[in-house]
Amino acid sequence: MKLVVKIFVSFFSIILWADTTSSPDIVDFWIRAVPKVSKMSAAFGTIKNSSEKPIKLIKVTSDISNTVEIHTTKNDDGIMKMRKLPSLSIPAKGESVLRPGGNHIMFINLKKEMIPKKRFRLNFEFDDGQKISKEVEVLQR
Amino acid sequence: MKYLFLLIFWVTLVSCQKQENSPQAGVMESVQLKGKELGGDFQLSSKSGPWSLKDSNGKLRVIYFGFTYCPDICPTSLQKLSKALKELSPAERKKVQPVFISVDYKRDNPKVCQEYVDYFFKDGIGLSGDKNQIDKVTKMYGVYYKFAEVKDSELDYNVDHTSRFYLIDQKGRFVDAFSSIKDNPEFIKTIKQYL
Repeated sequence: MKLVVKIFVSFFSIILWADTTSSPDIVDFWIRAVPKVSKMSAAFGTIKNSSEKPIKLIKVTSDISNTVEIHTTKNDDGIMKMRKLPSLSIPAKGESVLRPGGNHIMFINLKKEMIPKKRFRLNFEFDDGQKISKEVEVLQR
Repeated sequence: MKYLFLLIFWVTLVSCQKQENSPQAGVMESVQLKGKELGGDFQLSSKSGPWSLKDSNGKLRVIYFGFTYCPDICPTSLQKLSKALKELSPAERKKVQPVFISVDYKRDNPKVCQEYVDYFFKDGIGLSGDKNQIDKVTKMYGVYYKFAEVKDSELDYNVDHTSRFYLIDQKGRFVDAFSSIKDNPEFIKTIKQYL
């Protein structure tokens, strides 16, 4: 009986642990520091989805630029092509990694200077109605 | 019972690590453009006036073609170049000059290009030119660029472009071109060979 109770407690604690991990989770996000003269910048990081259903990032807002869009850069036979994405899919129990040279959050017509170590708030909106606000640091990478 | 806890802990740990170890972005292969008679002198505009390649003869030049509205590839590339050049000794570094050429003749100008390049290097040169000048120099160096419409975007346009670092020797002759310099010892090795 004692053993059954311990098994129950250990599994219950795992379920609790899973529930405390927010989904989606915005992890290791950073904004690229750019020259003062630059009108554009980008943010990168990982969006984790620990739920059983796939989700889509449909919108990002911030007051650091006039427009925020979801973009992707593709290396098309040596030619770098950047295009807008309507949304970004994050698989069930999976993640979507945004990295330089790939998918990124694009800031068009910056209103603020992107100086290293400054922090700005980004608001992520998903197709299931969830909204997550996260403060993200500017880094020179 | 102890083993059951250990098993649960191990399974949890492995699943967390699995998520973190996602595949890295593919590293672009170095392009070899030798023997294609690339390069040659050209004239463009710098902040201080007309600038030709022969004006900076005597130094080894690293030329990168990009544009200042580029949010991803160009700043990443110039940051990588800045990092790579730090592998040179101060004496070696003085013999190398980074050159940034904007192919975006519609939006960039010499002043903007210089301010842009100053962010990455103390001794860089930022250049721009009119359509004829840009078409000429890009043809000479085998650079592709195209103003592309970005569907449903607030961007007026993006510039599709090749991303390469061109090494030009002290006499203005094309040495080599690299599309990837991060963790590529050949890049610094080639620079050192020509110093």
